[in-house]
Amino acid sequence: MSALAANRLPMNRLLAGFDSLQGLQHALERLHEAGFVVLETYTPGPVRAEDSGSRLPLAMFAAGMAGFVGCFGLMTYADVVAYPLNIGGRPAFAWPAFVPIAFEVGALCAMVAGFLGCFMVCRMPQLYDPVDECDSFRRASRDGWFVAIQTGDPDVAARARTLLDALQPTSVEAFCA
Amino acid sequence: MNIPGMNIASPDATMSPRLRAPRFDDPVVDPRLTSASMTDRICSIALRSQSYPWWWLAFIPSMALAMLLVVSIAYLFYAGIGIWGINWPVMWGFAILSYVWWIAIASGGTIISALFFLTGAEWRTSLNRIAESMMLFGAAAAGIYPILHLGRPWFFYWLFFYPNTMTLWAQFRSPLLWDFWALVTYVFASILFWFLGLVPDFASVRDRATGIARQRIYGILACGFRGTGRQWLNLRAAYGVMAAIMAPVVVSIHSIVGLDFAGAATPGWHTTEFPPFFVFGALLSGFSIVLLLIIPLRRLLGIEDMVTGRHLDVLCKLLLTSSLCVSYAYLMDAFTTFYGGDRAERVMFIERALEYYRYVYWGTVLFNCVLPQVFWSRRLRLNQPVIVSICLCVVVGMWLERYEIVVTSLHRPNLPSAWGTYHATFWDWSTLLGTVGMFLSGILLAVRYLPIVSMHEMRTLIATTKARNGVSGAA
Repeated sequence: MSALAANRLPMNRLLAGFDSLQGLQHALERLHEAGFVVLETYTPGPVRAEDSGSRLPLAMFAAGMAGFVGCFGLMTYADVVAYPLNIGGRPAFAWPAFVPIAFEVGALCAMVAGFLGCFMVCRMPQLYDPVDECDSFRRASRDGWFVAIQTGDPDVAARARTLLDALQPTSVEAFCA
Repeated sequence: MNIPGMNIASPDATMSPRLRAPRFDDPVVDPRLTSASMTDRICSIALRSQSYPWWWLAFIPSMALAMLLVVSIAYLFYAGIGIWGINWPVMWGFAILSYVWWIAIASGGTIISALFFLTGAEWRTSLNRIAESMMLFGAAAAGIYPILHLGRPWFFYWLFFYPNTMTLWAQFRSPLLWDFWALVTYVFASILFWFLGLVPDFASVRDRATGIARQRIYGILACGFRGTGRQWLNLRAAYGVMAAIMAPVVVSIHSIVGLDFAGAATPGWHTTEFPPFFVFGALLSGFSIVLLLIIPLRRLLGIEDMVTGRHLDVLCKLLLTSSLCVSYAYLMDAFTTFYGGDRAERVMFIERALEYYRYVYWGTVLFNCVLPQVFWSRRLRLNQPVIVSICLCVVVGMWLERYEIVVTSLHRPNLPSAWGTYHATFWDWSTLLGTVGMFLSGILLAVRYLPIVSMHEMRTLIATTKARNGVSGAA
């Protein structure tokens, strides 16, 4: 905790670390039961094993299909309307030949949508966050499983500390935001 | 030592894979490794204040070769492609064959990273960053060749379709234009896929970094990734779908490269087997280059407990499988030539196998079909000097294969009056060596400054391994 921040703002949040996923999950259950506001978890790996619940795959599919259809349409327009070229009587609308480029452009659109969409929904880039002030937070990208809760007034903070201490955390740190 | 059954009771059965020779029954990851020790070790490689001596020994010559590429390109732009050995009838020379060679190497990296992600292969986890770096720098080396080969490279943007005062459109029915789009997609998609996988690992390095410069650089690269629930959920989801897109994209790019050839009415090219044939080649060169990279790196970086004998065993088996696929393609190439009955095709094939360029043809067969057969032996699949020698031969063999396809097909066109031969010039070789230097410099920079093992995926792997072995907690 930086001295500067500590002097100015009340410590209204708590960051508790656990040394395993199971420890964190247990703590989350207890915190929910006790009615605390769980703000966020910070973990070195996914908390839930399954990857369901994200809408990004749908967005990527939509962007991919839009790229495919748009590119296919553009090629059709170019070869049928804008610049029809008769090569030995072959059809202007040579649709099988349009598939490879349409596929590549569609794939590129889906990739770009996935990348940008991921940054958007993950709220990245965000180079500073109040939780960075906690020293123990460094372990969140290594082997520490953290949960941040809203405490607000000192009574709630004291209750939260009592509850968390019983769950054998590796660290409990207060910070402000 | 490596014979199955003998090593079970041997005294080193309980030794860490770091300290003994690789074995086929090594675990994919040493059970003694924890999330913490693995993360610290990989981060400390990226955060070393001084480079390893071997790193400089490798980097200086690589960089010198990369400078040679700069000189070669500068002279090419000044003098034109007449400085190369290409001429009628062999008008596709080193530029195209090296392009195909590099794109195959890159594709092999994508196959390991994306395809085996989808199949859920555990051994892929510790290799994927190396494979993706190989994909990125291979694609970069490949990507410059077609532009250099254009002759008037400043008009390369004509390949895009854009509104222009000439009211012209690109020729969408040509495989060469398909190839342009496949390459554009592949290069950009590779960069996005690679970077998205790196973001959580940059966060780990950022949190271990000391010194304001490193903290800032890795902090910016991590883009503020903190491992929140929302970030993991969406990043994993996006990465999974990206892998599912990369897998068909990589098959498409090498198939389309095959169609560049098959679409031309040239003896030796005009065959429907080319797209899968080229994809087989991509597999073979990809597995050999990744083996060539991991065998020295696992020792030099001390990651033998993450890249174990199991990885060598699996990759050598895959190399053998792709060698058999390629052999089948060579056989079919010969079979269809004589079954088809086209005289020009037959003449070209006989000349390819028995005349001026016969060493290229039989070198290809020896290096790509015959030598990899040693990997039927488990003992040799774990013998690192043997693996390195075979893989070097395969890399050369794959280059010879492209030489055979490009040059020997073109040197015997349909009209005997148009026959000719091809020889590379100094500038052909300097450009090729230059791209090798560029590739190696890129890989070395990645090894030095990036987390070279995908730490967040390794943490998941370590946790699942521990859970499977019945160790609770301490994930």
